[in-house]
Amino acid sequence: MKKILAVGFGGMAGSLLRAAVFQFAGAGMGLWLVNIMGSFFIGIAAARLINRSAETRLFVSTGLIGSFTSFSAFSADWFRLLDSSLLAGLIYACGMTAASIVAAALGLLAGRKGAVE
Amino acid sequence: MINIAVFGFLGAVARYLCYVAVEIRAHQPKLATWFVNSAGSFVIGACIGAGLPVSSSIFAFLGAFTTFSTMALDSVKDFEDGQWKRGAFYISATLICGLLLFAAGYSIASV
Repeated sequence: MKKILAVGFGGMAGSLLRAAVFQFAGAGMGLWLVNIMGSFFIGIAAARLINRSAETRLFVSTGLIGSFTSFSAFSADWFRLLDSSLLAGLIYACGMTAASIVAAALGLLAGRKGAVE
Repeated sequence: MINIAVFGFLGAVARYLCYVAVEIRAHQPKLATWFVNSAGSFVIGACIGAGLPVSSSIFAFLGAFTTFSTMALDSVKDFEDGQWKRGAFYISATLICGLLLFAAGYSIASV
């Protein structure tokens, strides 16, 4: 039950933060921001929270960061773009995916570096 | 605001329960991530096809139910282990299934 509450409250905070970014940057740009930032932070969390309790990791990684980023909105935007231009759709999907993977790798490296120092 | 908080909570918990359900059968967290992202894409396609307003609770639920960061991190772990093919397959399968299921949900609901 504690684990479910940890994920739930993390998800609540992550969803509210995502809504705040969307409010600030607009839905299209907002999705780029949350997915890239979230991927970076989940990399840091993976490196830094290894020895923390399961509840802490569930709150931060699964709940907070997992909910801050979103895939369903990505599928929707990708479909819409692809519908108007094949090239634009492919660039969009590959661009956001590649950027998020690079961000997660950088986060992981940054987190490990900080843990050693 | 309250909507986002409540349905963000529920979406994240529902995603976690999918992880737990998959974990019981097989140690394959990526399968659970693939599942939530595919299912979430299908449902959001149906919601957009049906013309639901963006403020609907279901969108708040789906935003938290699906995840992009976990997918990115899991593929980085594959690449780090030298499992390039497995990582590339996982990413492509997630993106393509998400798109096709979105299209399926959209066309079913907009008929």
